[in-house]
Amino acid sequence: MNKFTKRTLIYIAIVLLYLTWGEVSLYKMRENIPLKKVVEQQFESENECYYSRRIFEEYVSSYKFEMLKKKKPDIQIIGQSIVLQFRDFLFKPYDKSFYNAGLMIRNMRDLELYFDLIEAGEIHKPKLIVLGIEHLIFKHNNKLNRRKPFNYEIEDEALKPKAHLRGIQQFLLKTGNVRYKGDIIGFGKQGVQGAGFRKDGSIHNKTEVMAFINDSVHLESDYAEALKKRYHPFNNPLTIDQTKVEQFYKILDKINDLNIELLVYVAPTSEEFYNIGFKDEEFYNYWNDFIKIQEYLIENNYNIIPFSKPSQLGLNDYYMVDAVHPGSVVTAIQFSEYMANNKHKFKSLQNLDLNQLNERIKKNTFPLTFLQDTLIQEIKDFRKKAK
Amino acid sequence: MLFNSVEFVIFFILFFVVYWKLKSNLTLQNVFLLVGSYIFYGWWDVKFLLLILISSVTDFTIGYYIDKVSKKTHKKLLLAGSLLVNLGLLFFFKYYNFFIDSLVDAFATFNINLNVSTLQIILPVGISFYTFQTLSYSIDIYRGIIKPTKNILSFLNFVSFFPQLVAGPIERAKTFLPQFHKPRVFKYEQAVDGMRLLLYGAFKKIVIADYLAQRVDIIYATYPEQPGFTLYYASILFTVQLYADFSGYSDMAIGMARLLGFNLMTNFKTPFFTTNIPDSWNRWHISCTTWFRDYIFIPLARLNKQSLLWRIVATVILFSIIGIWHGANFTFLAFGVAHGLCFIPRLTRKKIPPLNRFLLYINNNRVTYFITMFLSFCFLSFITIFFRSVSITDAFIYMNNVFTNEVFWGDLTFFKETIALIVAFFAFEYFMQDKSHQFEISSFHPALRKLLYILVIFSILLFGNFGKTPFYYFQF
Repeated sequence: MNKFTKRTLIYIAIVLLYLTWGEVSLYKMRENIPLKKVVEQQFESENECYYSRRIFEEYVSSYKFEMLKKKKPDIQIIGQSIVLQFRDFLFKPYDKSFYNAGLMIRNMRDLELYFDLIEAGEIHKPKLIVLGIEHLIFKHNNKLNRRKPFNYEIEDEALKPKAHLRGIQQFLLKTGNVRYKGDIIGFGKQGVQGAGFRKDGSIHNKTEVMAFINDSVHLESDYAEALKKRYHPFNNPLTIDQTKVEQFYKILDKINDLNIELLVYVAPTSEEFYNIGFKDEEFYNYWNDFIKIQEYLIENNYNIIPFSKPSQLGLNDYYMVDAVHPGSVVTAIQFSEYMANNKHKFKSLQNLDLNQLNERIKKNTFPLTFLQDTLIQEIKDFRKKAK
Repeated sequence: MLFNSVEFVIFFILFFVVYWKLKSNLTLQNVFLLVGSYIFYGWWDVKFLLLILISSVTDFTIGYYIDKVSKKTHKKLLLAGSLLVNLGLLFFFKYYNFFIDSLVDAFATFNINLNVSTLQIILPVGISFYTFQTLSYSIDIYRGIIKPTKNILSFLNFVSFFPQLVAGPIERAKTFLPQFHKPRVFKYEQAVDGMRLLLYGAFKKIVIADYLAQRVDIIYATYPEQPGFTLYYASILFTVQLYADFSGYSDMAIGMARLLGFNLMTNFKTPFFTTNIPDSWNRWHISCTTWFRDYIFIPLARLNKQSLLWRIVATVILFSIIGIWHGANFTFLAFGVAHGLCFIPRLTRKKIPPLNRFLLYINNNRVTYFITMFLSFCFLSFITIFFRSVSITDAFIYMNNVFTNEVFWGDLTFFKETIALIVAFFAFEYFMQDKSHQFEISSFHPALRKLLYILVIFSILLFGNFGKTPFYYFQF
């Protein structure tokens, strides 16, 4: 028995060594910090703090929901990824009671649930909602319809031993070198590198920004290819589901009944994608059906920042993160220009400081980013190299 | 608890340590073993424990009285009671809803609306296995093969022994029950062999079966769009997945039993290295096929020993039952019938001399032997489409699509991703087929043995699939 135990222990020790090294590596990337702890620490952090896992499941919807419940903000940004560039400083002096809950809501069912929970008192009732809408939420056969709702009780992979084994594998076989910067507070492989979701809920698209800083490259991502091959988010049938549109109009009535001020936002697309898309007859018809929803909102006096291309704002595709996601500067410009003429319509934004926002926009050097972000050092280094 | 879960690893390590500390007191060790087995089984659902207790106590009691009474009719009645309880449990939990649905569909074809609804029934894990194990006890006592045990502790352990409780091997009381009556002795070689089986079983399940399962699932979910070759290749992948999954589980069960001082029967013996499907059944899920042979086929065949036709019919009935044992779906019935029909050449060969000569020739000629082995495997994989398909319609459409899809070759990504793994796996198993089990490497050089252990361990850690994948046969 002793001989067997000793020999077995040697192999167990080797396995434990591997597991220990793996866990330490995951911990260095803060991947194995449980989501509830991430929410707590990000909420309490005085400095900027990022969250973005790349090895364990990110649970973005649940993460946003938890933060929303904790922060109880009066200004809430909701919608898909197109709204993720709304930053807290756009709403000064109301920035302390702001949260960008973009990507919490993934489909029409979620949108309805969100307002049901506000009505039931489970979500703090905001004074103002900025609701980003895009074609996908109204589409037939939207693959995101199958996602679990944002209030679903998740089983955090950071607390599951098998997920850790998988995570260590991924770290070893796929992850590559991760640079840990001492001054960045973050959770997750991307978070510790200063990318991902900020404290205010907006997202820092560091990869795209660095691509622009280093190579002056605007990345379109694969949207044109997805459209051509009819992959998600342009899978067949490429048609608007009128029942979802009707459902949406009912939700708008509910918002009205709840006495919440509403600003609807329709994000721009890149010129490049727009030009490709409109040569596709099916997409052209589909897009026009989506724009009819925008027209309905305008006709019925809803507050709305309508769809526009960068050129219509005096800008170009460098201001877009990719084909369908605006950067933080173009979002700020759109918001600033809209509020310049419409601030009076919002009781909750009467003291909105547009001067500071315009000053920030003027000081912008790179189209995709504001200088206040942690990229200041990268930009300084870039400038040094350029000299 | 699944064998490939972290909580089970912790459970087994702690159990192993305490178990051997109690070796000087057999009763205490058996009590501890029983408690451990019930904790293991109750982990799925505490309510399942009631069922296993009902089955155990019923057969313990009935076994005692079958031996005690002298009249044959009384013995028969008692046996009928055992059959009623065990098969009744099995039928209710496994087949009730299938039976109701089939009945409703059958009446619907005559436009009769039967107002009968199905129930929300959860299939208890392992019920197909332990009910057969306890049944074999009662039947063997009735046949006079064994005497009943008076030691209820040993009997309860016989039924609920956790390494083999949920997916076999299905043990016979004659060989397994006595092992609970005598003290277990820790033997180094037996323990090492047990560890080898455990390791190899884990490798087959976590590295091979679960890896193939991901690819098979994609193809079966999108089969209308897949080229013919991909569809056929997926059936091969599934056959290998099933083998790696089930034999992997069996190896782990047998390995764990050895670590605890028990010997379980071999359940798989390289079933694909045969030239015909009947022979592969002698090597696949051996504990189950021998159970059906001894308790169903032999009594059936004896009803008319002289008739070849009856023998064929009995074989098809046997395999239909084996098929339906796997699950409450007509696909499993079709699977069983197809396999039963494969026995016809073997059963009729003596009546057809040219056939007999042909079968002898291909078995004895080395080249034709390998060709036939390959073709046999290919055909077996094709029939296994029934096993994997969700419905009988899906199965037939799938099979049809193999030959009729416009594109036959298409994108060979699945093939390229998996062929090396399958060839390497089969080559290793072929090389090791004459050993007592496929990781019996005691005759290898010590350095090579250690290297193999490290290779297998790190293959599991680096390439294993650690998702939510229970063992395939747990659903039966």
